[in-house]
Amino acid sequence: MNNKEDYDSINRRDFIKLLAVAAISAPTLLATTRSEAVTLTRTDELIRRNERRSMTYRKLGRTNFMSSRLVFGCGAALAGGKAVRLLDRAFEAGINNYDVGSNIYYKGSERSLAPFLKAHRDEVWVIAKAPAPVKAKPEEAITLEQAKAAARFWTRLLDASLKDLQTDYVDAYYLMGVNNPALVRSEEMYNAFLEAKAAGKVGHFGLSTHKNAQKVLGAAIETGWYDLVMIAITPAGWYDWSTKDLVQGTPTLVELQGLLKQARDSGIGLIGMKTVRYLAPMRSLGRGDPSVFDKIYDEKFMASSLNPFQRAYAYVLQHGIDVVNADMQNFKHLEENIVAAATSHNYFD
Amino acid sequence: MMNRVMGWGLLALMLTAWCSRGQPDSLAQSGETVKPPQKLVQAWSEVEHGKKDIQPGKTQSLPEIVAGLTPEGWEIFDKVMQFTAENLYEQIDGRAEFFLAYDVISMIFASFINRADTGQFIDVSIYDMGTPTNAFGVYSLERSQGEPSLDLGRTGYCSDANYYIWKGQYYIKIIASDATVELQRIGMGLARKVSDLLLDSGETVWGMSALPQTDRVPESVQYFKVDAMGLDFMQNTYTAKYRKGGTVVTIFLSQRDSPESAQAAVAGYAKYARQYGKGVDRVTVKGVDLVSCDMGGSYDVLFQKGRQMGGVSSVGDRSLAIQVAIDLWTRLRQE
Repeated sequence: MNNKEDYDSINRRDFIKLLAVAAISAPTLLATTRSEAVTLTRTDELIRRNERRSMTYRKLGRTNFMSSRLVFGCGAALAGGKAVRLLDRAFEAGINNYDVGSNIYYKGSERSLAPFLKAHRDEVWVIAKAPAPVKAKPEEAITLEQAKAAARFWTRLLDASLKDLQTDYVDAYYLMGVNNPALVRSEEMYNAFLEAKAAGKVGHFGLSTHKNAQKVLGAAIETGWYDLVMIAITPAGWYDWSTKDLVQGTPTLVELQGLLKQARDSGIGLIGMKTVRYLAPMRSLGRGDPSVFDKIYDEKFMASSLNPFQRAYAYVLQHGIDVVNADMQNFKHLEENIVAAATSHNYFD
Repeated sequence: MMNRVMGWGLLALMLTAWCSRGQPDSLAQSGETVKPPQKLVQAWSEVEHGKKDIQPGKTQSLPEIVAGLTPEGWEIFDKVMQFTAENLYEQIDGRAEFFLAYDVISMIFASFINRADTGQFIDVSIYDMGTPTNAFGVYSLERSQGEPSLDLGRTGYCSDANYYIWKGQYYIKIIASDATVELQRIGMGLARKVSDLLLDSGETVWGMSALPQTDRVPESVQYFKVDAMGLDFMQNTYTAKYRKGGTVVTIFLSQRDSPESAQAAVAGYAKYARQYGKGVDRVTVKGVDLVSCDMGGSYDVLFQKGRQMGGVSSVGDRSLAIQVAIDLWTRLRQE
């Protein structure tokens, strides 16, 4: 199927502006407890883009967007325009979710994505992100001054992203690489998002995390502000950048189902990342051992024709993660990951 | 004055020698102070301000020297850190893979924060990429087009209050928290000091001279060590933009280990074009054997010449693509 329905009859930006202005002009909304935070973007109608038979799709929480289960990770892939040729193939395969990052981190990637976005803006979602740096350790509190500075930095990068992407609107913008729960709970950051939303620049709020991820996810659930959370997750549990290893004592992905369900039940769309990093060669920051997750899989799954990387993606997709973001820098990896995402449901009851 | 000049020269020479020799076995953990060999000259700041003459035998680590660049009224957040290829990810997360692909050796990182406003910071990163070619590679892929250029190192540019410089085997990034005039001033000062600190061997980058200069769009050359154009067999590949026939085209050029390897790369490209395009045909024009790939709406035309594999990509007009490919073949030296 190739369904290109529009999800509303009025201009998308104007609709979002109306909702956001209503929220900001009612200060009592922000004064309510976090668990009562209003989800401003909810509609009952699903948002569908570029759906094809060659891909499967999953609703991303309260966004109502039916995302391809494989998200194209544009950040590293499009640096310097390297893998732009993969974009058309990805689109043809039914990928409708493109994740990129600020020029401050992924130099040139947003600009490289811009022509593709121009050609397909109403057919795909684009998610961008930027860091909101605070000079504080993960468990430290942050000062009001630091929070305000971080919010200003992030807002500036959001505007720069729009300019580099040559668009006036992104479907979601994340706090990138967050490891400090205090920043996640920062009202300065949330207000910065709301102002951007009121200006019609962004639809949804999210964050990405790969350090202290369990606590960061917990903070995101608690606030009720985040529509999307991208986590570094593997079949064996949390992946830790600090050690290039699994988090010591990590629960397995199966054991994390309760937390992941809590996130999804609160309306958060869950995106997995770094899922196969651990398997990758040392040069790609992995352990160079593709068999390291094999002990987690049952015999039936091990007997499948998937390679270790495909197995890891398929496994997380069937164990609590809505979609996976994959960094694909050549055609070979793209084709493999399409298969994994499109067929993951075949291997589990 | 002469002592100060000698001090700078000797410091730069010794630091470059130290950076180029590879890392000692004892270097294992991020943030550990690594002492260069004995007989290195003393603190940069002391020599710079003429407070002391050279005192041979007094050593100082590179992180300490970078710490000495702290602007007035600012301080280092935590400490100056040094990372190897092994633990670079601790600082820059997934971005480390990009630098690893270009054989990064080490990175010095310092974050300066303003004592009067701790929300303000300037991060300085100095990547030792081992060779000017690798440093050019990372610089060229991260380069933003259309930004004001800097006359520092071999080349550089600034964007808001951020500075990016390629100097020999080094890639320098200076990132500020905001784009105020004051941060621009301080950042520029740091850019100049760091650039002056590092030596350039002068070693050339092959692709920059092998690619023709005529009609080349300035600052458009890029070097891909792996996965050029999303193709896993395209390694050590240069691309550049040229103005031809009223349009801008992209030329690519790769130097392989042997003519056989170059031939294999051409075959791999033809296979890719058959899978993702609409057809491939081989033509001989003016004695040059070409592979013409119809990519559906545009053409890629490529050839092998000795150890080199090159061509042009994404050209709307097939005749123009062939003409540009022949022109490139003609201008290339046989290697």
